Amino acid sequence: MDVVASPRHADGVLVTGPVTRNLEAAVRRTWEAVPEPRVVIAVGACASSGGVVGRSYASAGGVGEVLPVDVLVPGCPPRPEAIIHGILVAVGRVRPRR
Amino acid sequence: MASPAAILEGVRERLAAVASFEAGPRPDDLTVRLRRAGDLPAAAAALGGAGLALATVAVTDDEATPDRDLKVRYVFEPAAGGTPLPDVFVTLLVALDPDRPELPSLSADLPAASWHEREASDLFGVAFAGHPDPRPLVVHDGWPRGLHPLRKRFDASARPPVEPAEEFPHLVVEGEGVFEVPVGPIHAGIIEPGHFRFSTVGESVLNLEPRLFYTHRGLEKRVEGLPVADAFHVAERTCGVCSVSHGLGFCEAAEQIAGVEVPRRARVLRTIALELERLYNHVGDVGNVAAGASYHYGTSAGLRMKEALQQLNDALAGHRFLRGLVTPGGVRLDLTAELARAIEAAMASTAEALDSLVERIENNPTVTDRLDATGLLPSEDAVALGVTGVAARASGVDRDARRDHPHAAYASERWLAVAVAIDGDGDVHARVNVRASSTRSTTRAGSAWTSSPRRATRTACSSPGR
Repeated sequence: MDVVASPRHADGVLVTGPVTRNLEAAVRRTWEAVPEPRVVIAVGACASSGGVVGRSYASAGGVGEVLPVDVLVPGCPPRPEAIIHGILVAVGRVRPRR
Repeated sequence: MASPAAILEGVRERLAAVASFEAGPRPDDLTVRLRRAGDLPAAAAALGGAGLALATVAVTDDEATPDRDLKVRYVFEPAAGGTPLPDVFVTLLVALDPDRPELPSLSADLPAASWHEREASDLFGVAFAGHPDPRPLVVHDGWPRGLHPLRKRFDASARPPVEPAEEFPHLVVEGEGVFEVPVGPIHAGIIEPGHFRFSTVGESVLNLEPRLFYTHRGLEKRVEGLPVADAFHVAERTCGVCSVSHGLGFCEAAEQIAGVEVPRRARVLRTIALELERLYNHVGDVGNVAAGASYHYGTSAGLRMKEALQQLNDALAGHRFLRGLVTPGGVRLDLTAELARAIEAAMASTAEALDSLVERIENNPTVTDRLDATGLLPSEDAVALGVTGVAARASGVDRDARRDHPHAAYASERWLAVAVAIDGDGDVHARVNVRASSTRSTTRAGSAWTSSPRRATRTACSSPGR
């Protein structure tokens, strides 16, 4: 696993907050720049559902409002182990817990 | 050494012709109500002449109250007058017509007001005549003109459509050999979104245009109408690595309004939490500076120290960012003897690891060459811009809010007395030095924290007005 310098080198994106109005275009364009197949992981309550931020003039809510999401990682914020687990679920290395 | 009373007497003398006076927000502070908005620049200049500097600007929409106005508060604090600086705030209050809120801009004379005014213009629609840079700040391209989300008349559930917009007018630097390097808003590492335009010639940065507020989440609007206990959870999430300071700031404001006295033990535990938060940020930032200088060992060493302290946070509060420890009225958890020993051990190992890292940085000319004379912030610029915290102290400004505006247990417990670390060089190296010194003083104090007597940790704090 590596954090890379360009979405062109990535296999997926981790979104770590609600999709704000001011960042929405950049979020879409970052995702479009990732070569397929690609995964989207929503990290934390706000990325998953909007969390305490919700939907408003400033926020579209969770990343699912603008991108297809593969894995939701709950928590505010999630613990490191949960983030690693979510990534491993996304790439098919472990089974999701339901 | 100027006493707060003497400062306030001077302010009253200078402004008696144009204003009325009342106490507040704290009993010993002064609020100066200007009769005419046009007197604002002269009043601000008079406060400057009395040794006061702009701390912040706050706007409230009181259209629905009997006042039927918008209020703009310019909060000033002493910038001189002894060590510690006198703990007093002077607020210039201007009431505006909610249908035509207009004020003369202070930014040309007080650069520290510039972003506050742009923010108030975006969010409240206050027009600042004569602002040197009236571009939007918080709202970005495609936000409808004339719509101001923090006005009470703006519906909290509204989601205005994105309108067609021209490209934001960035400042362009031209000349032979000038390159423009755009970075962000989404970055290659794990940092906050922001768009930066570096105009460079070779290795020299001629100009940096930052554009921020990509993560503006509308939290102020979000908490409108919420009970204090619920709004606290939003305040605590304003910033991930400042959960304690933001959460505590909210609690102290609510407690002040509600007239709640927080138990001594709780104030001590809050102060310990603040210091632990400062600590993991200081060592993490020394690591981040190393990352910026491409010193990979330093990056890893900084991250390792930060991780150890976050694991300590987890043991203390059940949360790696210490969320949920502070609560309106006090704290939710006490410090057991076992946890106190864990803090002591972490203080010792952090001090040792930091000394080792700093020694390696200082003995590595390829690193220090990248820190010396980089990112220079001269002392006079730091003062003019109202810079606070580490950046101010690394530019030789002797200020520390813990000492100058003491709260929690900073003033009442002698063993928590703040040692203020200053470095006058104003460069990145100076900021590393300030963080390292602050870390050392906190780790030294940490061994005394365990001796505070165990007592009650919480008082009931009900919602004001309910």
